[in-house]
Amino acid sequence: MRDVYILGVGQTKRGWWPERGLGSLAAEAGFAAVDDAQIEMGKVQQGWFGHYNPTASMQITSGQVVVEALGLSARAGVRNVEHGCATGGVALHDARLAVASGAYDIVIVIAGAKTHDSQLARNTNETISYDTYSIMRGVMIGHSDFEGYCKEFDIGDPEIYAWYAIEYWNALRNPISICYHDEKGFLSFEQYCNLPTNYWWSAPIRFGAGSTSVDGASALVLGTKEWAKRNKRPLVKIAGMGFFNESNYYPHSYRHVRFEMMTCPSVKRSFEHALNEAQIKASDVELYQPHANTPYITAAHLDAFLPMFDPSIPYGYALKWYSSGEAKKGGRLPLNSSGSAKSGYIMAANFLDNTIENVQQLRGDIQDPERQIKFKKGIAMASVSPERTAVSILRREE
Amino acid sequence: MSSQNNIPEPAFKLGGRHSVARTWRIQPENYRLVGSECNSCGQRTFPRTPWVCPFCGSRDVKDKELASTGIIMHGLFARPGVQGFEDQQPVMFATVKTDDGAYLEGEIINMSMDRRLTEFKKKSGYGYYDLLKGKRVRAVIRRLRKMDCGYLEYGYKFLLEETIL
Repeated sequence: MRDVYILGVGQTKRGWWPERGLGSLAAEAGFAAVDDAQIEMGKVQQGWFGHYNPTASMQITSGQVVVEALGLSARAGVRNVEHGCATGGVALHDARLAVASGAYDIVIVIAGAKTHDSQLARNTNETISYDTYSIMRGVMIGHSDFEGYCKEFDIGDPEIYAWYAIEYWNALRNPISICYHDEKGFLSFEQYCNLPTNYWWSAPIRFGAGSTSVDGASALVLGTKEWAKRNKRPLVKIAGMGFFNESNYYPHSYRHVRFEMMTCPSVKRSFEHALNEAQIKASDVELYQPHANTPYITAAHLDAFLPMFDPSIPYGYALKWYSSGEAKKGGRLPLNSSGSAKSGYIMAANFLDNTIENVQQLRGDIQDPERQIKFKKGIAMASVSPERTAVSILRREE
Repeated sequence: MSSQNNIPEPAFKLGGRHSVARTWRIQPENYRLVGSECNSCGQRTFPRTPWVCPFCGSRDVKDKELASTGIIMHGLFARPGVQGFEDQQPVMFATVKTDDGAYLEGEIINMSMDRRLTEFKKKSGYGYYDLLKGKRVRAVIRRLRKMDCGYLEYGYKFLLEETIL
């Protein structure tokens, strides 16, 4: 198996554009990525397009649209990937394998969403095609899990506000964000605590654009080391990836009586697999982008990872990592440096966004010095989606 | 809810299979036959390929209003079952090469329903193909379909220079 490197990255700004279609968004991101990789689009041999949710954009077989928009018609294949929050993760995982196997030298991975084409399905969250049992599990059990979790581990306003504040602080400084330089949006702790909400524990879900579905696309160009060397930039290698699914209903024999949403075994397994592939220790990770559309999804990832990062950290400490200041730049493990979901949440592109943020951080390409992390070992990690978890570990090589 | 005359009003149907946003987005194509022209190789495409020329891969592409007249290269019948055209079956479509060299597909409108049905019922041969091939057409604006929610979509169709009865 060959090593696989990220040659280039590209993103559109996040927002809502009725005048732009899915192909237009994918093309903008795709061409930005090949420009960043300093290659021509014609060099791309295969493509992966992550697209979620087709109901909202009224577009199936979307790879066909993308291959035309990129000018690759009859020159390359672009396949569709749809896997909820892990859509981009699965696309990247499989694209990486295609290069690693030697089948292709340069491939492109794009993921995007067009949220408001359908009059029926206004955003992705309204159209998740799960059956009622799964919705009950995801929403009812998820929320009640989180409520019990918060009570058990003494999580309150300060912790959840700290999660909100770090995400928003970074989103305000991320040029692609929907709230870039939007100082009005940032709430003080007092304002935040006084938010009207009928469900206190999920206040950050209801407020703060936790899961605001937007239009946009993100793209990465992957290739071999030979191609990566041509750019004369720090090389960014995909050192390891993990991908595990588990049942929506039952986490099988690993089912926990309490906090079952918060302790998905697929998350831990994906971390272990990716770390093993990358041949590093969890404590080597210097920047981490957990899935951050809600605090309990973030906690589900962090509570699996932090005890691996430092065995002295107990389960249940995830959100206190934010309030303790360790998640900020300069802390022991900075988190969510792109602003994650607060920047505008594209379910399909979420994983690619987090990976792109890591690439830019590792290269030192972040324009805003306040947001640029300094690395010692050059290792950054991203993860999405409990129950269908994808994890990527990137490593910088000079 | 009913009207003053006690006639039930049709229920407003939210959603449906059609996208207002998408229809609005392709108005330049539908109303003015706007395609793309490559500044490198000169090829013209329809609908627009605003990011890249599909022929040579150049990104130097501009919008171009295509000629509204052309010649039929190939014609075919649409079988029944096309959404929004249920009352017009069978519908005749054709591939038209415009006078400035772009290819596009559209419906042929001035052909009698009797003739359409006659051609449609033929079990063998290529009558419809011979019937249309080489005929000159002109693009006109007509109603394309009615959406589930009641909105009407307009766009181009083709008028044969000589009506076929």
